[in-house]
Amino acid sequence: MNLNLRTIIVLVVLITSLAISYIDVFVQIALILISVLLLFSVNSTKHRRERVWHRLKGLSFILLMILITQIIFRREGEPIFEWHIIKITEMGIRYGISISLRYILIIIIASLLLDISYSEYLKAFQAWKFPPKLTFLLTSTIHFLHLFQRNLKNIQENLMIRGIKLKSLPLKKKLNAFITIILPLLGKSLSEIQFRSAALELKGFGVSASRTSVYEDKLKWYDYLIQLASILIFAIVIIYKII
Amino acid sequence: MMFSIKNLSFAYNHKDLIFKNCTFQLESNQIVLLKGENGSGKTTLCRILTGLEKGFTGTLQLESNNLQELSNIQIADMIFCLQQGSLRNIIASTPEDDLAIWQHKFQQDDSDEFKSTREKALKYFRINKIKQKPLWELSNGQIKRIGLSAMLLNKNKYFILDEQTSGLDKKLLDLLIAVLKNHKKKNLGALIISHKNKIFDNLVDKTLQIKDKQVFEK
Repeated sequence: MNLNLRTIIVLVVLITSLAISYIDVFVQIALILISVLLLFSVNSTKHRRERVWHRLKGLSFILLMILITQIIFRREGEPIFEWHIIKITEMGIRYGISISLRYILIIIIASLLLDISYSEYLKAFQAWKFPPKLTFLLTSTIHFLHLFQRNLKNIQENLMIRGIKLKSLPLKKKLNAFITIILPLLGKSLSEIQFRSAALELKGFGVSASRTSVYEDKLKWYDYLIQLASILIFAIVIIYKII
Repeated sequence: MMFSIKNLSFAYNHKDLIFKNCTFQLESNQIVLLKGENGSGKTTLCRILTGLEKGFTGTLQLESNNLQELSNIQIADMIFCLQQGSLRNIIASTPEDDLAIWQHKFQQDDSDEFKSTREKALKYFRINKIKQKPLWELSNGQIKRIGLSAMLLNKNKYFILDEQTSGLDKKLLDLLIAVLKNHKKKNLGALIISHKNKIFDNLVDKTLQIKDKQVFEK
């Protein structure tokens, strides 16, 4: 199903807002299931699904650490197990699981916003009548992530060409290598942004108050329907929580 | 024989074919010029030969070894490649640091011998005076020269140079040609991609052309 970017943004914002509003484990699981469903049904590609899986696998250790830290260090709630300074409570377990699930949810749902071109975002924000400068500010941030990702890929390829395998290095040398590589990576990405801003100045960005666009971002009937339905469901869930 | 390629076919993301059943060879002691229109697949071929693109069909042998079975470290021991786009060839903040990485590969400590070799390389391509300057303060031509200096640290390998002549003035082009002549004298080969074909007239042994998804000798 090909949804408009604006519909995808609405869905992502609402789902992440619900994930933050509710700490309940079952709500988090339900939201993850909805996100997985969206991942497989909205503008779905094999590449995107593989990337999400790869990311989840890569971050699984960190997620596990978050879970353990929350379980061990949260002091509130009924204690289940106590030994010296270690105190495991029912609330700690609930928080630990819930927060880990929340991260999983964010990784899955954020993938819906990847692989979308900078110009698509520009059109979407323009259609929402965002001020041009704010639109550019938001899209530039998205563009910077792509730029950073591209530069990172270049470095990985360059290391391959030089026959350098960072994984096989001892920890101290690995750290030294990362510092040597990361600083110019940031420098390169930021300097490209400087060029971009100079190019914008040269094109007279911001001189005229209103802008026209060759391409318009139009919503289909089902985009309206999904947006309306999801906002209604969100409102009902939030009102139900407040009451 | 450096590369022996038989029935090579390749497409990005299994979509439009860039190469279709190409068969050709690259000798280890020949300087070969690769020509082709923009978008014909010259850079893609370089990426395949250096092991950066793996999803091809057919057989590709590098010094009688199946390229797909070789590790990147093994490929890098035999081939030195400069990619198109000067910034793509640099990973450190300064020219000196970048050349140092070519030498120690994060495995050894820096030594006086390394320093002396890289000083000569930096001096040859006239970037010794800016060797401590950060990358983002250098011009495109200066950044390109960092990559070219690295050639002098990898003298005994087969060179793959993708569009390394653009943005170089006459003096620098002459320096590059001199390095390649010296390379040829030592019976070592190179694959050069350039739109400035004439400057290599007295140097190249063979010219290959990419056209209609095929690579053929011209």
